[in-house]
Amino acid sequence: MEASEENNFVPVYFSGKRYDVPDSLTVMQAFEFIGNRFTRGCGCRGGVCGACAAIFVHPGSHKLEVGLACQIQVIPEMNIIQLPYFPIEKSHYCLDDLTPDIDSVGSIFPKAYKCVACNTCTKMCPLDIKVMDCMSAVLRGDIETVAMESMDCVMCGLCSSRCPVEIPQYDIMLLCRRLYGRYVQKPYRNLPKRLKQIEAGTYGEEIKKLMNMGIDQLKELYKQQQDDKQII
Amino acid sequence: MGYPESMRQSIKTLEETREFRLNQKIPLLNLDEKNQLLREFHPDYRPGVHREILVGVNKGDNAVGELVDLLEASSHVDPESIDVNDIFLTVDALVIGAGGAGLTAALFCSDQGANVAIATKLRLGDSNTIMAEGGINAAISPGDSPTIHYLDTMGGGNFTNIPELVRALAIDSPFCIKWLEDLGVPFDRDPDSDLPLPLLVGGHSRPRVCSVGDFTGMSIIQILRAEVEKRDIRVLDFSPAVDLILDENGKCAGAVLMDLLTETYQVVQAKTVIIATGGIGRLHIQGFPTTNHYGATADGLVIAYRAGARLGYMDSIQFHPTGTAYPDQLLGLLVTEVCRSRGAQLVDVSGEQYINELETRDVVASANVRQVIGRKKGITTPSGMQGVWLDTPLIDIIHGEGTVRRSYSHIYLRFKRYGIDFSKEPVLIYPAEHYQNGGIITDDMGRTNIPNLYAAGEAAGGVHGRNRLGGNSLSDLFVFGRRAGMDAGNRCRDIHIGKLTLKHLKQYHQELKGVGIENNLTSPVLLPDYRFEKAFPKFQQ
Repeated sequence: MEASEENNFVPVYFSGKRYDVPDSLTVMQAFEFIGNRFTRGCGCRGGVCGACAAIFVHPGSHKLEVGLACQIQVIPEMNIIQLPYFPIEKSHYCLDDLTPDIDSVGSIFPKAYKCVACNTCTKMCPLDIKVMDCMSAVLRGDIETVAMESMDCVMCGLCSSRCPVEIPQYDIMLLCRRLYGRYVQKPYRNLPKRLKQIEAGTYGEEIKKLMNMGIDQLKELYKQQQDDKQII
Repeated sequence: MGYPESMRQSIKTLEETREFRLNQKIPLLNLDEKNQLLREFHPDYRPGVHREILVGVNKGDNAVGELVDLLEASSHVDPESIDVNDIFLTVDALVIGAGGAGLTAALFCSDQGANVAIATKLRLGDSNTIMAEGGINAAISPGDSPTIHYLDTMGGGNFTNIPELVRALAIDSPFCIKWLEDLGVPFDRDPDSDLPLPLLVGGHSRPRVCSVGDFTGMSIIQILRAEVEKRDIRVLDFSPAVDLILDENGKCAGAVLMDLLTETYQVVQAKTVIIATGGIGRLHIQGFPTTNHYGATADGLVIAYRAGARLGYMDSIQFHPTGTAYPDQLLGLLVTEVCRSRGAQLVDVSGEQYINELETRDVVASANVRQVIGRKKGITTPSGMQGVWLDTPLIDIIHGEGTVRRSYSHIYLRFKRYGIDFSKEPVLIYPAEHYQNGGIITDDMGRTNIPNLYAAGEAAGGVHGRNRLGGNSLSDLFVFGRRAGMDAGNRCRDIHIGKLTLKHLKQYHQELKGVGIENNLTSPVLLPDYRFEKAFPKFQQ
């Protein structure tokens, strides 16, 4: 892709001000095309870090739409702002002291009980997560459903930004994923045994032998090992 | 949007050969064949891409030209005009960088009772780690062992790795998995065995990749960030380090930060400093697109080098075989190697498969370059980029409908926004800059040659040799983040700092002048420049 006369320039409104930008660009690239060098509002540029959450409307529409600026393409006439940070109260908990149920979650996030089921959070999610359904599952104590349904969450904060009762949904969902990982899932089988084997020094000795081995012999062993690839 | 007609034609050809390819097995290359392919087609071997370093510890070594430019540039800081005794903050340990290695180092350092600060250029957690898709390697299955992991890693690096570091990686990785499990990382598991998924990644002879969907790094970073936030760790975000401070005895004793919002300098005095600033992709080595984060501009290498730290393997870059080549808006973004583990094949314009997909990354990337440039069998996009197909529909064909949607939900959504369903249509890929194999040389505790300066994660080099295996970067950064953090935390009690100085900067600049270098650049780069015309992604084939 090159800047050329083939580019089709379209008007977009960044924070209400009109700029004409090539319509082939992402919103993030368009911000840069007009001369902006990001400090806030840009992170991974790959759709996972949540730094570039953006809110926009189409002309003649009152409906707010959302997206990650690095992932969505410019739409003619869009009126857009970024929301790189949204303040919520930081939660401080120690996972060791918790149980995977509503008592734990509710004690850390009493606001969870205030959900009015308006579904605005779901509409605001750029990852299409059913955030309100997750909040209902929290109240039922169904930690597994919250974890499974919210796995894609990039913690951009758009859900919380428009919650009428100020629930920090994305922080609650993170807690649920952690409770799931720690208490609902079984731990990896064989891991405790492996740690004991390592501590007993078994592998240290084996590796020491390889470290002291001549390069030709090591290459031969490597070849054998690669030829013997196994799913076990 | 989806694919234009010209590309659809090529997809038809690919679909016609699919049934045949389902039963096709291309044998692995032997070491000689591998080396020949690398010499002919790996971008590292192109003429003129390396330059000699003319000053400093690595004088006489070769490195990628883009890095040498920065090593020859001037500091942001004028050592004459800054008062290093005007101290903004004093801590036991200063961690520079807040990705996987930085957060891990900070947590383990703080566990030792040390007073820790994290300085980072962007937000807490912003890093390449957050973009890690595939997973983290650890030999935890009964049929695997750290010894097997050690040998796979050594061979994957073509036996150029530093053995002591590989030993630490193989032995410590299972401990890191235990740590992450206890912090609540919801790792995937094989439901029948409660072990990591039964998938082989390139160059590994056993399944050992612990994953969380196709967003392993994001999941882990979210959790580590929450752990750091609840501790008494001072977070200095939007405050990159622009140079290190030494004391009068030549020991590392802090850093000068630049607050990006106020554009003012801040002096942090620290008994130990851990560099965890990550990689180099946003310098766009040889003009290649990159899979990397916005902040990956090699800042840590530059400031460490000016202070006298030794670098290594800086002429060795990992080009990931499967960076996105279409659509332009997603150029360079990673399509995880685990797609190939589940059976996705690489296919050229004739519908032919040409390489065993479980070869190491250097080999697969070279094979992709050979197919496009050497054999002219690439597929061209409307804007002129060429690539080869990754036949991802094979994944659902082999593993059942819905596997792609379930296992690659982020990548699925990314392509869906551009009208491509990658469970039903292949995706066009081409190698993209992915990882800096080299970096600051350390011992197996993360210590550099400068007393009290540590390095961990992608900023450090040596453990992967000249090629890294998939999944080993996360192992690397947790293993060495943990080791560096613990060692720095333990040792700082006995460290006494002498008078702070920046005279090493003055000496370094004099040395540059002495060999006649004046390139009018300032380093570290801090933020890449994509303004105006540069907003259009460039591609190098």
